[in-house]
Amino acid sequence: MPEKVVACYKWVLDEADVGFDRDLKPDYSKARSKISEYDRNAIEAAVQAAKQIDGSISVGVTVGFKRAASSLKDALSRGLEETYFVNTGDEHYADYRITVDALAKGIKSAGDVALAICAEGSSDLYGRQTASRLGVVLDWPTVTSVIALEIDGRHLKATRKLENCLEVIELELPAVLAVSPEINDPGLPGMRAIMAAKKKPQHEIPFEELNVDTVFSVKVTETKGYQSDRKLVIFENSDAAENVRLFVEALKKEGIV
Amino acid sequence: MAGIFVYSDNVKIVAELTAYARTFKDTVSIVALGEDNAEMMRTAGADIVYLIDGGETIPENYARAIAEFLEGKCADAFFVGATIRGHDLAARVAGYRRCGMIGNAFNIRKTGTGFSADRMLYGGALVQTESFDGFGVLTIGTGTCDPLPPSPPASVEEITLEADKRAKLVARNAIKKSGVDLTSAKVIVSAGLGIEKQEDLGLLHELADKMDGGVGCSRAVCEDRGWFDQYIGISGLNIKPNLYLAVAISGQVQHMFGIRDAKLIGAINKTKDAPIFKSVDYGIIGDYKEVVPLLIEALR
Repeated sequence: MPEKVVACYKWVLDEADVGFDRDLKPDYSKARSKISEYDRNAIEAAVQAAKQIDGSISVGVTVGFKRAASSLKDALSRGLEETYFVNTGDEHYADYRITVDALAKGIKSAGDVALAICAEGSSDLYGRQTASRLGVVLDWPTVTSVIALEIDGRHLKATRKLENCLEVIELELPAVLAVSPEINDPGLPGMRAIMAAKKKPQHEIPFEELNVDTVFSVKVTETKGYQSDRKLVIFENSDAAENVRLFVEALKKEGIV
Repeated sequence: MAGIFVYSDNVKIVAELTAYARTFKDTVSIVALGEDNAEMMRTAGADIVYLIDGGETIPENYARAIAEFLEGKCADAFFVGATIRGHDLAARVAGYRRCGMIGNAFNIRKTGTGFSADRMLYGGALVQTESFDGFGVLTIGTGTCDPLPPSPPASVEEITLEADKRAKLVARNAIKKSGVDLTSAKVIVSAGLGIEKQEDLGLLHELADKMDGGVGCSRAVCEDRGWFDQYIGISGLNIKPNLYLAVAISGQVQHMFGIRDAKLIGAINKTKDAPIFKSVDYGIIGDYKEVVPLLIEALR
């Protein structure tokens, strides 16, 4: 069996479609699903990394409830060779400890793994926990915020971008990485890749078989719409100079200028 | 010593988190890396500063040792500055302790059995209240609390922790930033994909100069066009200026997350239905090429 480079990804609701009603009750009814924007960078990074490791292939591992099955073809069309879907059925384990435990077991199901690549965060929750916790559970060295990587044999050199500096980190595989969006441009899969995806292997792993502790580490007590308390004053006269005059007047009243 | 333990790789955030932790009437301890940092942190208002002595230059490599240290001290919570490094270290500590973590937390409360806090979801569309019992980790952004006035220096206790040496630092190079530091700028004028050509950024710089501000951009302008080396948004900079003026920015939720703490949000956009107009204080519907020169003139 070839060695694997794993892209960890999540099937999420499109954040642009999530709203709330007058009582601030969340409204997900119009929300389409997608592979998290940032995870597309992780998938592309895994596809490219596999080219740098002799004899390896890139695969996707995702943990999600049953409708995440819809993501598999999309993930495969982005260049991955196989998918491993940890299916939680009707249960939605939105808890990092549970998700990461399941993800780690899903990764081990894929066989020999050289590298697991995550995004910094998902576009729905953006908790920035998965890669760091995954490294702990797998007991592999971990580097986050990666914007470039080079692999030579079992040696990996990652460049990470922090607020004020670039760090070059070296380690030996296996390892976990969290990549930043600027590491690559994943683009859109072409028609040929979409057609080829239909023939690629999809493996499903029932969550129950993994014996993951399902006690939540964090309890959710309330989720509601975030009501912006902005003034919403819009100047839309046909005379641009008048709009600017009113805008500057407002800034003066606010003490900005 | 139970209580709240504080860490950040940013000394300014340590002072803020220490002041914030003090509001819970708990013992507050700072975990510091580097003697110089520890010295600066002594007057932040904590009861004690623990200086990690181990010679490791990547703080995250101490995660397992810090998790064990906090367990030994019976810490109630670990408050970590929400920097890139802070998120990483915090999540690793939570992983080793197998405990709950609330990222980018605000409105933190003690519950009697642990802590609860709010955090944003879906790019800022929703806010969720989460809680954990027992020990847990919270990452907290800048500006949560004003630092306390300098206190009598707390004692410093050196602790020897063993680092995980598998990830090795071979180079660290400062990022040379041109212009104003956007994380502390009072005014930010920001460019969106609606800016037609790079030369037009000159207008935005001129406008920002009039207000002693800096110029930033949305993610697509940075990554697709390469006009900037950093962007504002959920996966980029989170900023808190007095005025954020979005020019030709549509207002995708990921971007709005990064500017939600601006005191005032302004926008210039020729598209009346642009989402950004749902989240502004003052907006002008118009073409930036016409409006910005008029604004520059008006501010002369």
